[in-house]
Amino acid sequence: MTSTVTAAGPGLEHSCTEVVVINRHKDDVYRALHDVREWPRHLPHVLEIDVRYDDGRYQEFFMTVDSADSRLRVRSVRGCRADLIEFFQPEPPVFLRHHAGSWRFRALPDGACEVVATHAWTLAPAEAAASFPDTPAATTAQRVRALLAEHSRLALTTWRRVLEASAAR
Amino acid sequence: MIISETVRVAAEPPVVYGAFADLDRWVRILPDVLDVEVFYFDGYNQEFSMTVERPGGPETVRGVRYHRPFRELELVQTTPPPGLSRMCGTWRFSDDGGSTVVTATREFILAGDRHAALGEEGFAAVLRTALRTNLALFRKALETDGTH
Repeated sequence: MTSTVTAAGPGLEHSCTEVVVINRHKDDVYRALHDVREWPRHLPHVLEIDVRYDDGRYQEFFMTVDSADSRLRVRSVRGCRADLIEFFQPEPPVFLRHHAGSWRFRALPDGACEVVATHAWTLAPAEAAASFPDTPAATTAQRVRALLAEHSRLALTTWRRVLEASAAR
Repeated sequence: MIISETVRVAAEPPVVYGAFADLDRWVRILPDVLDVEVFYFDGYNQEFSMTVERPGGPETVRGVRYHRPFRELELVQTTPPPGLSRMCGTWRFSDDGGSTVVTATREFILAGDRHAALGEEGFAAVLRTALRTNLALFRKALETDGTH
């Protein structure tokens, strides 16, 4: 897996990009990430998915996840096109004003699939500073970036493990 | 079913796009729009609600738009109007020698029996008329009366 920082999208101040190669056909990977109702079956930390709208192209759902010290319920809106799923959180965590991103899928010559996950965000300055104060080692912005990049990496590596394990069965 | 309507506006694409992109202007330009509320907008993704006057009383839809200046706005109503299970579409803006051609496209799926009397073709005709009216009102606002 590689990790890079990219230019932020319009209106968003920060972004990060994570890349993973999953040894499965692109269509299988896309289907797994698109079919949100099945996530609790694949991802142990996803406790519940409550779909409010899904016409195949656009989706809106609540996801309840088990985090280290609490249960989180987040709402996500996604636009799903060929080889691209875009998402945003209309009600992002308190330390963010905006949070959006995308997953891009690319078939590799050996039959594997490259997934590029981009997260972009704008800080809610006061709340971010309260939750992630500057330290000698990192600023508030750097700490939030590290957190979101770690979440993105964790999601991608979990999907890689799940999808490659199911292919091996 | 997919329908589309087109209008030519004597203004450049950034100006025309700006009027369609800014939901606050919709209340001033379209008389049947009673209220608009934007819940989230990051420059690309936007979530909003819009309340419009209808013969049966006010209707509120909730939706999402994707902003692609100055060429396209993409729309989906995640809470569609009564009698529909799907309503989505785009406005596309193209430069035509200093004017802007606006093409509004809508894709809809009827649900339940609210529009059974009209049927799909009949509903499409009503929707086309509404689209034409709205496009004409935007053109008027942009070209003449300055309400934009």
